Amino acid sequence: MINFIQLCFSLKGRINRPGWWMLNLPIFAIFAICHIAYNFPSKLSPVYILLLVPAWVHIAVSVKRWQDKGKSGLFVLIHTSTLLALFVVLGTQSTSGWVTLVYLIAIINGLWACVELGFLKGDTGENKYGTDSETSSEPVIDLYIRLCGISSIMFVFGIFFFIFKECAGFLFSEEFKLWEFLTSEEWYPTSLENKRYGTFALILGTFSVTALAMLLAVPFGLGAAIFVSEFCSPKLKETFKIVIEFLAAIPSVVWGFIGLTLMNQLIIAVFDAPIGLTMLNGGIMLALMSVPIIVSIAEDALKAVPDTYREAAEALGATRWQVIYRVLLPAAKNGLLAAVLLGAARSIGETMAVLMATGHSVNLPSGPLSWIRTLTATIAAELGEVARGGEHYQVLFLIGILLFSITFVVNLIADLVIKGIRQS
Amino acid sequence: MENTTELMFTETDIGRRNRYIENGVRVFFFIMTCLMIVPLLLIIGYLFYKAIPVLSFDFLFKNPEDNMRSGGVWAPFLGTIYLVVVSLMVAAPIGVFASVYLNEYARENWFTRMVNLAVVNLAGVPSIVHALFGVGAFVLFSGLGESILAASLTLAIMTLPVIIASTTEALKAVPMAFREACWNMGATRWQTIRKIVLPNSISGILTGVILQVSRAAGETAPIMFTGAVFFKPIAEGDFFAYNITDQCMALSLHLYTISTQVPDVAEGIPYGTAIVLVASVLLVNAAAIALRVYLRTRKRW
Repeated sequence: MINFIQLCFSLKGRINRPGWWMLNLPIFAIFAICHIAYNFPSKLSPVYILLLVPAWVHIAVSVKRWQDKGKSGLFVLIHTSTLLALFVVLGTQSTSGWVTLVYLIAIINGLWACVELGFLKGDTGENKYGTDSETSSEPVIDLYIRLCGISSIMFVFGIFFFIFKECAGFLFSEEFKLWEFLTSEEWYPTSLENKRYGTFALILGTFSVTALAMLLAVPFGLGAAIFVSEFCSPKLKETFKIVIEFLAAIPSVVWGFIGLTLMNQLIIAVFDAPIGLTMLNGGIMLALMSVPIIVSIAEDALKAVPDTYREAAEALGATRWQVIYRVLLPAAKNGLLAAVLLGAARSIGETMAVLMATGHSVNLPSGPLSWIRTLTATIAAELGEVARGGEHYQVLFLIGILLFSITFVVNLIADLVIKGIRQS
Repeated sequence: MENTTELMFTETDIGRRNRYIENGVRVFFFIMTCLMIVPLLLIIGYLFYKAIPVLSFDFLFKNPEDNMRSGGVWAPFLGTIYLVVVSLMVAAPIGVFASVYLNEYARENWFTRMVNLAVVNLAGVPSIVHALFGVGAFVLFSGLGESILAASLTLAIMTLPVIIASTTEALKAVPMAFREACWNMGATRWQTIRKIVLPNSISGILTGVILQVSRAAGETAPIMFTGAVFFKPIAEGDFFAYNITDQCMALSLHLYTISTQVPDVAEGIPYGTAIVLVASVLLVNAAAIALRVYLRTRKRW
């Protein structure tokens, strides 16, 4: 850490070319994004004081690069002064002839500094600013790798924080009653006199369609996993795996479209229903979407059972099926459970397919042929039409928190179940 | 004596029963597995059959016309390419570095478990929740507005676990002995990673990157509210028609729109759009598989 602070902020010592590039590229990126997305520097705000930090890092690193070449660090003033002039000119948005001149100088100067600092080698051995063994850029890489490593934690917290931030106003207001939110089936967010936000029907919709999907997907998924892992020749196995990958790759909106067209007509024809956009339709689509996950994770779980188990059972004269039924399934049951849980988590979180295929009306589900609506579909359908910051808008974010928590818990359990296998 | 040999080599009742059961089970599971191939072929075949009337070179390179009731898919197609490329530029470096951290730097402790758990959870967060996050963090908080940039960042965070998972797998496949040999030569950790670990796992890393592309191309929910719009005509044939701070059309959202929101769309057009989307996603996936197979044959250990 001390190493890193020295590297970024101190003016003493030397740095090599890779180090210069690695520290500078993100800085250039920051300035480029500020310029493109926020129109910096013609539109200023106090937040830009923060930009002094990357600017200083750029100066410090460039000074060290000059010293690496045995020159005085003061050389840095040449290109930084023109850069400053460029920012001032850009900021004032003046249109006089000077502007072109400043542009020209800045571009030439920038290119020259880039070549001088980024491409030309430093002194070998020792010069008056230090030895070349001190020029390693490894601390920079170390830091980047560590930052990226913890980024996923930051993202998970970030997701929770930003969704929470949007709905906090409603969550802590007088009108919000958690019990009513979870158990009332009255979802009338646009009613004029009496707006009611009960999500019970939506929760039930989500869970019923997920249950139906699992009912269809689990037998097929586990059966396919057993076949692929135990009965298949290697070549056939490769083919099946590719097919399963393809099945997993089909976008959810395409599944929704299939549900809307092909499956809709099929259900009308087979069940003589007035409309085919039902829970059954959504369940079949979700089953097809979650089967690949179930197969691949269940297959991993079966593969993880040590071969000695199989050999011991076969030595006792057990047939392949007996080995599977009596040895493999009990040994791999945790992994299979995790496969089912992750498949269910996928179904709960699926949006487009259920939005398009389940009929989209707030109903307590009464059977496979009833119309339902899920939590995810509600957000997707209504977020585009609500006023930002309004109560309805905040409730939609609250549903997001609910979904986030449900999938978080399911994933956590699946993870613990898998960890359980590794430890035993 | 003769009698016993005969006994040994004739099938007993129980043996025959076991054989029948075994064959029955094998056929049963085989049918179950095949039942997953059938829908795939059926769906692609059906979409293709319905799309044939509209599929042509022009369909890909013409804008939607007449309130999206006719014309092609050029604007959404280009928008999807923009979203994918920008999200890839963000997700690929972060994802690869993150799995380098998990695989080469992290020790077995609670913090590493936290990171792993976070990756697993990030993979499990529903896509619509990512959309809400994108609206809260990028569109509103960062002030990017609804733009390609905001949508791509949302997609990048959503697809990060895909890259992390397959890169981690690829890094794990590099034998420990390679690293140890390198360390023994006095190489530092990063030198080992750069010269030994990454070159030997590049195929797996590329596979992950390609899978990220296919995942990002097909997603609808995360971009719906962060940067994709229903309709935005652009110059036909110009690959730089979008600006990164603009909103854009996207194939997946376009399919949703024309199949649910717009009345009286010409019959073949939604099917054509679906085929373009499925074909591009599957082609990208096939590329990943081909790369994997090809590089596996050249593996040196």
